[in-house]
Amino acid sequence: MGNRRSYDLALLAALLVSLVLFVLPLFFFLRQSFYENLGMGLVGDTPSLRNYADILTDPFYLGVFWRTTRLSAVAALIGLCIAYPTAYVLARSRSSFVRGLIVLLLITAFVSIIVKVLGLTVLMGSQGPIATLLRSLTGSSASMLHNEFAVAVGLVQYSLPLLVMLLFGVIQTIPRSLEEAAAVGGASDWRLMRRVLLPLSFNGMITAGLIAFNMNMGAFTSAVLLGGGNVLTVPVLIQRKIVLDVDYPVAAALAVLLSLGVFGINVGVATLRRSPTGASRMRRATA
Amino acid sequence: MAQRLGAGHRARLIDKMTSVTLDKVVKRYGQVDVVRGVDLAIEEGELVVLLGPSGCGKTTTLRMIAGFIEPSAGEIRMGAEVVNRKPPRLRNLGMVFQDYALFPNMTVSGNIAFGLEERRVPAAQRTARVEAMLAMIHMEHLAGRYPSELSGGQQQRVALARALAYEPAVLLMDEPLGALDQKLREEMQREFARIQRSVGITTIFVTHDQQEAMMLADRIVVMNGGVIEQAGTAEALYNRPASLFIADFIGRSNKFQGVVERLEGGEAQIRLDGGALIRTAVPAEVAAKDKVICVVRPENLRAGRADLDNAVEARVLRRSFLGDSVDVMLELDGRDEIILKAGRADLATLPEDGRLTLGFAQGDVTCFPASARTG
Repeated sequence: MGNRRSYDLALLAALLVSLVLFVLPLFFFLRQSFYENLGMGLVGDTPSLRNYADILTDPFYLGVFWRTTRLSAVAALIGLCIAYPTAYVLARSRSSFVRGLIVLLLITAFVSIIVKVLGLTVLMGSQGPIATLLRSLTGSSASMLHNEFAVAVGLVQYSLPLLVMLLFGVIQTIPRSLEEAAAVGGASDWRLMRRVLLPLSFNGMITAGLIAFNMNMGAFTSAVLLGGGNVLTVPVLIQRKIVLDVDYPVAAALAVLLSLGVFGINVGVATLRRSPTGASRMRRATA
Repeated sequence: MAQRLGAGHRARLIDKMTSVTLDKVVKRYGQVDVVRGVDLAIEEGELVVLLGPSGCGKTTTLRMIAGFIEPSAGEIRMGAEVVNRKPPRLRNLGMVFQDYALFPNMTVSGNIAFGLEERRVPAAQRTARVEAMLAMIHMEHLAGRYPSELSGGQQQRVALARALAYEPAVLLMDEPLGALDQKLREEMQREFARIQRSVGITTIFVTHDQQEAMMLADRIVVMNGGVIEQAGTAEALYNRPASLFIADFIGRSNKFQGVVERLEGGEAQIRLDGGALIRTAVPAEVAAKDKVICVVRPENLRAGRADLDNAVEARVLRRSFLGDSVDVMLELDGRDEIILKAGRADLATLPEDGRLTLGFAQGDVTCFPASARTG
């Protein structure tokens, strides 16, 4: 028992650290969202929902929210489409070389986002290989950077390793014999995917897609560096409100609305998940 | 009906019950030959069991017939058509998997209808067929259940119904009863035998359980080390094993080691290692002075029958009462452990311990050269 208690004390220290360094500052920051901005970093002293009302009635802010959501969702969907076949091949392979590739994938997930984004900047920049190729083919030299497309590419690139790993786990839970049973039953590869693989990995795809979406909604680096100031997303806007306008209350309100929005979308999309085995249906029937 | 179900939309689909022929089939993985030249002709409507220890190549052979694996050499034919490269979906096979492989996202009816839907069988005909299948497996009342709501035996039945629903050309069974407990297993064996007989479909059944093989098969094909060791009826394999491996693998065998002392027109006098002299026929390749292993089935040893062709003395170690019979463990000259299987009627005459004379007829002994591979 004595040992057990000393372990508990160790936990207490961690709790204290996160309270002081994380919860408290967050609390004070979010509390500001209910007070008026007086300029010069000063805030008023009567709490109200004024900041929220201002944001939710201003087409500019709403446009930023819509752009962020759209970009995040599209990037998550593209990521799913690219990650699924990759994860499938990895999950179905018996070769140890392929298993080694998964370790590589894990390593790329730890590469700093700055490095990844800079790589994309070189690749897609006006002097980069793609632009050079396009110029020699068409004669025109449109830059691919500093627009929504560039940001979407960055978002997809960043979330891809994670998506592949998540879907790898999902596909591994589907026995290969199910695919063989479908093939023996007369199903083509396409029918097999539509009737067996996709229904059985649907819930996993929803979960993986939501995780990628959430990462995209909070993505700052890709939006700033690849968007080059032309693609204003909520995280970028929050940073500007704090650094350029010194408007903590509106920044805080934006952060709260971003969190609530992401939460709501997650709850909404998660209801699409269903029990493919009918287990819940039976529970209802017998209840 | 199979012809109607298969005809029309897919010209290349094999559309009636067929024979299956394997011609010098080889499967090589890197340097290892898993299947090393299998020749086998399975007739229309025949139930052939591929039997053997794990790693003998029986599952690989079945998966080549299914089309999941392409043979490295040789030919697989369904009817007259070479199917080596034909994809599984065009072979018109029914298959029952070891883990059943029922689609968890479909009900019992949905699973059974799967192959019919893939063949675009009209809805009315499909419904009738699914109902007939449900009746066949006595599960009409569970049509709307999902696989996760079924017992192992029920899942097994659904898997069989799904495989037979579209009247396939050949039925493949990959150790389908391996996951069931003994009692249920025997029940399913009887039910499967009933259904297979009533459908009359060409069937290839893989198992490592020799009792299951003997119970089901028209013909048992015993595989060992990637080749067919012996093929024949259960009776032929049991009574006339072609090798020591078969004698060991099919049923139980007592083994006596000895040396051929005299050889006269195929009949040999063999001096057992313990000193007893027995007479029996030996295979042609055995010469005088050769070491041999003589095999006698436990039920062919008779207690106290010194009047039979051969007799050896043994010491009783213990007896086990098994209900319909008694197993007696014996020690022969302090070497081999011998089992004698006696009827319940003989129980009274068997001593609890001490010495016992074991008699056996010349025709009940099978001899193999001692150098023979045992697997």
